[in-house]
Amino acid sequence: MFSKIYSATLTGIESIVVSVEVDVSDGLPVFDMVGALSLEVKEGKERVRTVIRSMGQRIPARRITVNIAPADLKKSGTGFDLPVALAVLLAIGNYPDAKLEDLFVAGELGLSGEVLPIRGILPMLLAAKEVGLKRCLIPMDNLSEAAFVPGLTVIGVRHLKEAGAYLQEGSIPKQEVKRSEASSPKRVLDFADIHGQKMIRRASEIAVAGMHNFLMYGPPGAGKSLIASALPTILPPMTEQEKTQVMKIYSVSGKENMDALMDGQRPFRSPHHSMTQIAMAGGGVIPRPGEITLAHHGVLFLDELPEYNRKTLEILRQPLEEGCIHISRNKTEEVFPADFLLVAAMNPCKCGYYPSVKCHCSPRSIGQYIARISQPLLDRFDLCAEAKKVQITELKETEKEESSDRIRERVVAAMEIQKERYKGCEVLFNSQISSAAIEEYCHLDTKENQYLDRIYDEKELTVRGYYRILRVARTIADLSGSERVKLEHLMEAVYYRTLNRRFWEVNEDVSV
Amino acid sequence: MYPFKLAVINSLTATQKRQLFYALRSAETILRASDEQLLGTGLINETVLSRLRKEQKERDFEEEYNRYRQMGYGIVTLEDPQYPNLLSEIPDPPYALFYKGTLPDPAEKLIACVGARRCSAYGRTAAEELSRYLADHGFSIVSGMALGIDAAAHRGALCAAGKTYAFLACGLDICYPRTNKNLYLDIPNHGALFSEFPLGVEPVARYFPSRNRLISGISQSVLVMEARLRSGSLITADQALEQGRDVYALPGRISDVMSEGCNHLIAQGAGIIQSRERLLCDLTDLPQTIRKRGIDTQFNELHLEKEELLVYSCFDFYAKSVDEVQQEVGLDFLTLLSIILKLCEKGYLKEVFMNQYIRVAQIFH
Repeated sequence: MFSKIYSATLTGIESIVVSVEVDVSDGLPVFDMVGALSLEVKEGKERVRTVIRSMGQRIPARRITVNIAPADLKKSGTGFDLPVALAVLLAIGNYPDAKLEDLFVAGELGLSGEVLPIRGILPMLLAAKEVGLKRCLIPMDNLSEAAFVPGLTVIGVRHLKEAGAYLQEGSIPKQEVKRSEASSPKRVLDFADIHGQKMIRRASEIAVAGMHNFLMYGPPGAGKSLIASALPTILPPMTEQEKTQVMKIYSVSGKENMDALMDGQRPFRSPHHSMTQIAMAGGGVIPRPGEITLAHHGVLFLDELPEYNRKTLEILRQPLEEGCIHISRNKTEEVFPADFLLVAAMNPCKCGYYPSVKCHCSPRSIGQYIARISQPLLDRFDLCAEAKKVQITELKETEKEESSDRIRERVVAAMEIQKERYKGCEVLFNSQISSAAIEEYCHLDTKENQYLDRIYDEKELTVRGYYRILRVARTIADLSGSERVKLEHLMEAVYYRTLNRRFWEVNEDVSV
Repeated sequence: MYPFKLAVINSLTATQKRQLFYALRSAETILRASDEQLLGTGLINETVLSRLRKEQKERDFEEEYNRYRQMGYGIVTLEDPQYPNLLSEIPDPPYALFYKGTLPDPAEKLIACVGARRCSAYGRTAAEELSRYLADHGFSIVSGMALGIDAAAHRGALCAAGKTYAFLACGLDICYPRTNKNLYLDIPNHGALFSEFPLGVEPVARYFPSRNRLISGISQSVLVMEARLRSGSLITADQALEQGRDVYALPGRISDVMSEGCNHLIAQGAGIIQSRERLLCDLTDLPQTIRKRGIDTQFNELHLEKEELLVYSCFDFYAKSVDEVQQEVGLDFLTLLSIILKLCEKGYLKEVFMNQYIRVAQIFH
């Protein structure tokens, strides 16, 4: 007897539909699984055998061959247990009425026959829809992800028996979408709750509006992390397309906190500085997404930037340029999307108080501290702003600060302007304007040009720094609804310009 | 040759060398003395003696001496008449001083100018201006070639093409701190670098106070520019007083941490640096003729517009950030930025850190 069920395997964050074929024929009693299977797929054989037996079925003493096709594709993951079990049961004569042509099945089995959740259901469903499958049998616990794939009949099952009953009689068990516990309305920090910090607030707004990478520096306890964690509230909600892509990533990496994403909130990742390179970039024998991919279409916040391993930070450079990361491993090469807004915070020195009189670092240690961040990486921060210790008078001000929603309105408006301007180009945001195209988008008058020439010398700007100021000025102009980049926009951009390392090198002027 | 030997020998401490010299009156007698004679002084014990003998036997002093000579390092000891007079009078002069450059003339008047390594623009500018002024009037400036005040003092003297002497807390072949490389190379041509340590000795924290006593020891007066309440500069001032030197301090505002030490010195009876002219009179024992001059006049002489003056007056000799000043003056942010830019161009302000500025101004008029 022969049977065939469709399932899927993961490659990176994409999924490919494969077919699980089972043949039961005469010969020595063997249970064999073939088809370029990884260890966890092969082990499924034992789970399937035990579960079938525990359901009271006798596995005939015949030759059972399981093949997962196409045979040259490496298969991994635990989602093959359920399709293999069903296919075996079909091949030995169960469920004669089952219709399998448009059915997709995935799920892991426990020894008692319960169906356990798996990673990557969302991309699997998308792949299934792509090849024209209509009905999907998946673990009940994964049901929440199914909401993203309209046009499919998705049935969640909790036990192998329920799956069998569906195949035979078409009976559907009670569907329960599990919302993770974190979904209880979590208090999100709003910009209205942050007192003072006028400069940083404004800088955050500019950073988000033009997707400029943003670096905050200042003494400990000045509220840098606080501001960063409020950033998602002023980011515009994700579009459906973005949402699907982000959900796919989270589905593959098996992250729980998907409810906020489903509401359209952008991801906010703040990995600890003890993280490894692989955790940042993604990787492993079977490559899995790293933090930069998890922050796709959202914010990657690196607190205490100089404390990160230097190599870990250098990894960021290529994704920041290309918006994706290529990971090559022994047999596979994956491309993970990694288009994120990089936000970082740092103390200016070891003790955190440079250049104030409170600082007790030696000039050498001050120079070494900034040197932990390479110049090329420093160059990728378009915007820098200093966080100041909040004064007690500011804290006590009863007047509420501007709320996130109000700021978001301006951000969205500025983004609309950019969308209109860059229609038909590869550029989406001001931060991506190439230096060749900058003259076209940031045209300056004589007065403005003169100002920049002066600044170029006075602030010892680099060529890159010069262009960065123009890009940021463009965003500031967009925020104010101005078509031209005016002097005031340039001046503000200069104020938020990239850190100048010179100020950290032996600097006799700021000793106090 | 014997003085050189005694100077570089490691088995005797600086104190032992000095005491042996006082007891036996010359390096030659010390190094040719019999064991009994040396032990008889009661200054060294047998362990030290055996180490001394071993070193005398094994070390090739001839070769070392030639190396010093070739590299341009000189040595002056208590036996030489050129040994700075004032220095030989302090309680604990070093037996030998290594130097590079020219020794000060006995008639030369040496003034020490010391202060904090981390200083404000106020102290640094004052140190540089005062040193230049004093060098112009024939004084030589002595300091320690450290960052901050010391470096500014040397620079001031060099600017005026005057003489300046630096005492290092390490061997003369080591430039510490390295950032003062220019001074390290320049000073030997306009004075000398001094050290009580032989070549190759690395700077160690405990050498610095010892070096400081030489700075005050060789000078007739000590000027303290800026010092915190507990700082090396105040120790130098104390040592100077013990050595019988005049101490002058630059007064500062009571709110400035960096001036606390100086104000404290003044309260203790140190001379106060009120003006360059007055200081010069004090140092030269001339009758005082003080020019009258209102401090208030200085702002009017800047030829600034009203708003510029307002902004300028908000900045100070220590770094202040733009938003701090904005809160004080209440000007529109962009207006403020353009005024600051103008003031920078006119040379009245200087950006010393990201969006933080200090005043650039003369302190003495």
